[in-house]
Amino acid sequence: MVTHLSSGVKLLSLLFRTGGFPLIRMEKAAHSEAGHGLFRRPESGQTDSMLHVENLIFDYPGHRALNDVSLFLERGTITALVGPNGAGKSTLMRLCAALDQPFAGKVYFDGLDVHADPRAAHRRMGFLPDFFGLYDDLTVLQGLTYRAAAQGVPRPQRRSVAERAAERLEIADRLGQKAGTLSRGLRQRLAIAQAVLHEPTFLMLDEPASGLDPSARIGLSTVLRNLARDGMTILVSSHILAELEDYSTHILMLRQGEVVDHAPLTVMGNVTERRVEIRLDFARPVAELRKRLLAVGGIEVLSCGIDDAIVMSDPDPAARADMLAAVIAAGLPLASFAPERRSLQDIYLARMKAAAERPPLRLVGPT
Amino acid sequence: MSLDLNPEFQRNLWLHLGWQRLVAAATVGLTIAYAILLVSDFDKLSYAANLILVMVLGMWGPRRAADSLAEEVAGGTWEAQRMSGLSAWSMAWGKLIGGCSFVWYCGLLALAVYIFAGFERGFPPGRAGNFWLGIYLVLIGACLAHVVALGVALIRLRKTVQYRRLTITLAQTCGFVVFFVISGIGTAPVFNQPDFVPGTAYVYDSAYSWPMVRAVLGSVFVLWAVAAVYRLMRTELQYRAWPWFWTSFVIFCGALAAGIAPWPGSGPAGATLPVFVVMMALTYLSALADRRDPIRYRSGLLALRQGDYSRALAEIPWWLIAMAGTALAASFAIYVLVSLGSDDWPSSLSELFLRLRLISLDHLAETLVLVLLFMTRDLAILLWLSFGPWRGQSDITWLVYLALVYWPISIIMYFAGYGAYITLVLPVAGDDIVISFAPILIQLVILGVMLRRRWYQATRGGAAA
Repeated sequence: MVTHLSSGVKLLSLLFRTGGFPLIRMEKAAHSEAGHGLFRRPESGQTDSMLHVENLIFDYPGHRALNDVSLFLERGTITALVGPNGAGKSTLMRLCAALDQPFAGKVYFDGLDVHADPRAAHRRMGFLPDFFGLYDDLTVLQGLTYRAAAQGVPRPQRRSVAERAAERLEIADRLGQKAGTLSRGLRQRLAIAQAVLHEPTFLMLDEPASGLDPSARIGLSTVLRNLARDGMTILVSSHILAELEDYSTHILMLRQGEVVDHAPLTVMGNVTERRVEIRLDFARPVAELRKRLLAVGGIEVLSCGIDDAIVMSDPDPAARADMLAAVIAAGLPLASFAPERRSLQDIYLARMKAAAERPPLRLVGPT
Repeated sequence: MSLDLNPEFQRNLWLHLGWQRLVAAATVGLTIAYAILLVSDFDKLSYAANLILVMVLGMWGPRRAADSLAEEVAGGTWEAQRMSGLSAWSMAWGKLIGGCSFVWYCGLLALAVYIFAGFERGFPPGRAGNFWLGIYLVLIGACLAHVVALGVALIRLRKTVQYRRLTITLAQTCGFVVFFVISGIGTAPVFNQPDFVPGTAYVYDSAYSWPMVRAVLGSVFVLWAVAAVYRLMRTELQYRAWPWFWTSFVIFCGALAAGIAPWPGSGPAGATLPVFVVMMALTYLSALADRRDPIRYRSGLLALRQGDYSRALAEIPWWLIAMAGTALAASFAIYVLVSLGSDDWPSSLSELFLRLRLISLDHLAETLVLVLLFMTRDLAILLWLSFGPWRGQSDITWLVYLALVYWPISIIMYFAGYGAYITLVLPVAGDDIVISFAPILIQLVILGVMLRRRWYQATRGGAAA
């Protein structure tokens, strides 16, 4: 029987604190009556979350699409939602947008239960589905004005709101053009303009870059960065990881309807489980570099060249400071000492592989 | 102060009421009317205007009403509209009136010509017995047809977003049938019957003309249909769908069936059968309309088990409510039969049964029980189909099954001399109670096992209910 969690057993608690990054805590809980692991609900006031998904379950006949998904999205972040086809990304977005009813669980948007009052949530959130449509026979201005009216913008302000959205998405010069005559990239911009016209605090985009040419994708990245800069919290799903890396602050990985990982991109990029990968570059080739690094003590060398090396470090900044001091004290000609950043694709593949080999760990939430 | 239009209505006006279309329609319409007058007379003009009214309001209108929703779904704008701040009511009437705005414009042009021709002809009464009542029937029939078409499209949309053309055609057909029944195509002299005398209807033993009854019923059903579309739209917006509206409608239909008696003056006995038949029809129709989603059923069962009665109520399948109404009506009918005996049934009703020959007057109560059991079997088969891997085709498969079981097979058996075993396929009780009841009971047991297996297959991914 699916219930909200009343008890759970904490198995693992990983604390990452790197330069003020939020804490990520992962727990594996006891089995519920239904036989599914559920995770502890965060205590109130623990987080400044824009979206709080709690033990979300969604079933299709004979198939569970989302299995007990819990997560938080912090305000002002851009979260990349990634996962293989059929992982449940679109389903999760549709549930967050209150377009479908979950079998169990809750979605709170800024404290509001979206399924209890969908219209109240819709007034303050925007959603662009993967298969979006436009009213092709309406002009750009008519489409935006309609959307403004549909979102409850008072009549005297509709035109200015529509024009501002068009300017924001750089389609102000197309106001008199019919939507059906726009290029794919411009249609995408118009659709996003309609989704953000009412100044939502939270925006969800499902595969917004699909079908766009490279220049349009770059334009889209700029648009999303600008929206985030304006204070919008964004959840964006895409298969184009390199593009997500450009503008995302967090990454949320789904696999087989379960959360595999959720963390800030900068943390995930150089952290492997409990440790951080550090890249050391030296001013000149060092003979027997590996041996000399190991002699420093407390250093695990992952890879080593003649003038560079990658070592593992505790994520605690103090520990890293100690390591840096020890390397310099050993007389090594250190030129740079920095966390090693891996591409999003590397992280994604590594996490998915790890997830396939172990029981899933799920996020409880950042503090 | 400027008028703040419903955005959905405004959008539809932008799309459908461009000035070019308005001018073109008026020009073409008036040219045709003038041409008819040149070569003929006002009788023919009235005839033509009436025909155009039927085609525009009765056939094109329902199609437009359904398409106002279907084109949103096909065009990918439906989700954006569901994500907007529009209320369900704004969406409903914005589509109904806005989506059909050009239809109404053309229809009102035709109506103006019809009234003009009627004026020249001295306002002939037509089949409604009154010229203006005839016009009202056409208008209220058109309103009901459009609302029903949108409602059917909404129901179909909840089940599948595919088969857009099929959905529109089905909605259009339903709308046209409703228009046909309420307006009476021959209200004006389409079939050249100006001297037609309207029939008499008996409502709770009071006599009224049928056109008047149709006008009142049409008006009332328009209100029901609009409320239904509003409720369906709310469901699309993921609001909880309480069963009170449907329950009220079922009760209303039962009361109506009891009131409009085909056997006037027959008392409770004559009123029972129509109520039972209407309840049964509602059960089958609501079962067909329902999504029959096993996950939703499981959610309702789970809520019931957890004591969350409000959620359980919201998840209750509508056909279950109608089925309860059918069982109640059957119980009352059996009580009436037992207390009055079949001899006291209205003679016209007894004659009907005798004419049918299959149904023995001595076993009417048993036959009613059999009808309930057969209905349960049919619903079990529908659920079995819906919980299986081909749930997308469950509706059409079920309809084919019903057509096969109740029509050719029974007729073949009857004419092949196996009338004694007709209870295998038809709910007709005979003298032998074992032969009457054993086959259907065996079928129900087998179906119960099959249904249970399908249920577990469909819900195995989640928690046990």
